[in-house]
Amino acid sequence: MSLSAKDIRHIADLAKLKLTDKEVVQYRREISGIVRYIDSLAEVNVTREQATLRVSDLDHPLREDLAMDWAEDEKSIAIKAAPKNKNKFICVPRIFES
Amino acid sequence: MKFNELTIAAAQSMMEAGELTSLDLTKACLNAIKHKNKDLNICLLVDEIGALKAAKEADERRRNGDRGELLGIPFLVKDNIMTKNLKTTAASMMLKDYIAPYDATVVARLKKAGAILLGKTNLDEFAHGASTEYSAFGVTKNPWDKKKVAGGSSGGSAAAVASDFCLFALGTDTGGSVRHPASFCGVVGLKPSYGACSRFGLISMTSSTDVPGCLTKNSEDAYLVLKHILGYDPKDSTSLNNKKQLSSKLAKQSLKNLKIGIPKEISGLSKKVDSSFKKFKEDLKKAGAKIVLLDMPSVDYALAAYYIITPCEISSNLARFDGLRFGSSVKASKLSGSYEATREANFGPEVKRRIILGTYCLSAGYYEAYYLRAQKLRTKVINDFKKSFDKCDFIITPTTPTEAFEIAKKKDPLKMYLEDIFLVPASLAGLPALSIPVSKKPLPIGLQIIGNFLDEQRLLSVASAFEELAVDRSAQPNL
Repeated sequence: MSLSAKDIRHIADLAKLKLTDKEVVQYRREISGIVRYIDSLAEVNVTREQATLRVSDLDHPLREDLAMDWAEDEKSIAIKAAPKNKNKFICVPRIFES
Repeated sequence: MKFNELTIAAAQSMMEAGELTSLDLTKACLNAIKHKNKDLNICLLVDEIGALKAAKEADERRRNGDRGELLGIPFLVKDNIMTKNLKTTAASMMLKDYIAPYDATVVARLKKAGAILLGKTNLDEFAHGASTEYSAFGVTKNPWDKKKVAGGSSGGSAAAVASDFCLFALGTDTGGSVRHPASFCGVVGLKPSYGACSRFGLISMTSSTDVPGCLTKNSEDAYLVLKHILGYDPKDSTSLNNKKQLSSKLAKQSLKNLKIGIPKEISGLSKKVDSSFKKFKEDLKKAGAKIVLLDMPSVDYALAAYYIITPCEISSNLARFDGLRFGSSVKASKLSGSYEATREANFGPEVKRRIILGTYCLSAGYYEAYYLRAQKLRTKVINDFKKSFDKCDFIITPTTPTEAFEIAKKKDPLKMYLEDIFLVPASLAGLPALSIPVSKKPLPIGLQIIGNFLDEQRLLSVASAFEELAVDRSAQPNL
């Protein structure tokens, strides 16, 4: 199946990617080609198959919902990695705009 | 022979005999990096001060009676694996200045064993690729021919081992990223079973197939590294509490009456890979092994299934790069504008391609046609392997359809995906697999050996026996 420029813009919008006009042309061509390739899977009969989401037979591992200690030096590097931080906090913009 | 050209096992026995110190060994590696890295673009970061300090500490530990297979052995780490206090960029502008707050579990375990971290190696951005050309920091050149790619995505780690920058290197393998460059660079590349080694501290790509792996000069060394990175980690909920531990020594497997399966679906090989594979098959027969032809129809569509699953998981995993908590950030008047501007400016073309493809496959109306169907095909792949392992002990394929290709020649992204055609089935099924060089000149050619789930012990034993059938084993790139 071939994707339109509108499709590419819509998907990019969902993925929070702003594309230039040139990129839209490029990705439309390339991704349409890849989608045609993966569309070949439609020929394979999978009606009797269960989906495998992971390979190891693990039970859902759950742990107690407890705060764990984290070394102070590691904590400090992690906080400093944020583009904006203050004391022990990461500063982020408002989510709701008035 | 220079110290940096030694294998882990050889260096260890020299240190044991008092003929070599970790400091001398580390200096030899740093010296090789200093002379050749500019030309090959293998290391993105070299931590000379940290390495020399760690080497002195390892020598001190040895003087105090401490022993260990990796004590004092220098290694490099692919730059999508976290290394505390050092830059971890994933070869992306998005993380160009990011400093990791902690070590990945595999790195922490190696450091604890006394191995010496030298620095970080180049990769395709976020490990998306099979040539290391998609790195934001330039392509890594193949040590055997600088006009050729090193393979990928762990191209820097494979080229580093081939160039004797280190005694071993860590990589990550999601759909072939350790095995592929190992083949192109003429080294051993091991992808352990999914869950055998902790993923904690790996920059997530495809969480359902990502595994850390190692690149080494031979299978015995791969065994030594694996022993130290293996094992359950409470920080990775998919890591396994595997009771099947590796034994202390690697026994060489006898090839007599060993049943080696070859999928009859293998095709599209270059002339040289084809003749090398045929010759190896004959050599195996001469050594007493039995060749079993396998019917594995899923091989034909495993790649397409992989290139649905992988972009889907990528589109989700890379959503975390929003410019707020870590990494590069571009300001805009609105929050959503800041997300878009940050991602537009800092993701490279292949990363964007995969995010768009994955978002498309997961978007309303397409989930069942693509993602769910691909997961069902994955079940078929697993079942094909199960049936095959009833008939044989191991499965072999060429690692890649061709030898290393020229830099900047493969422009079509779909053609790049086809590089992984023989590699993704084992990834989808979570099986252990490795690539060993079967010939090295003029360009290295690799053989992939796939083993049964969690059967690394036998896989490496057989790899060790196969190595003896390889031609020009001792050949080295002319650097």
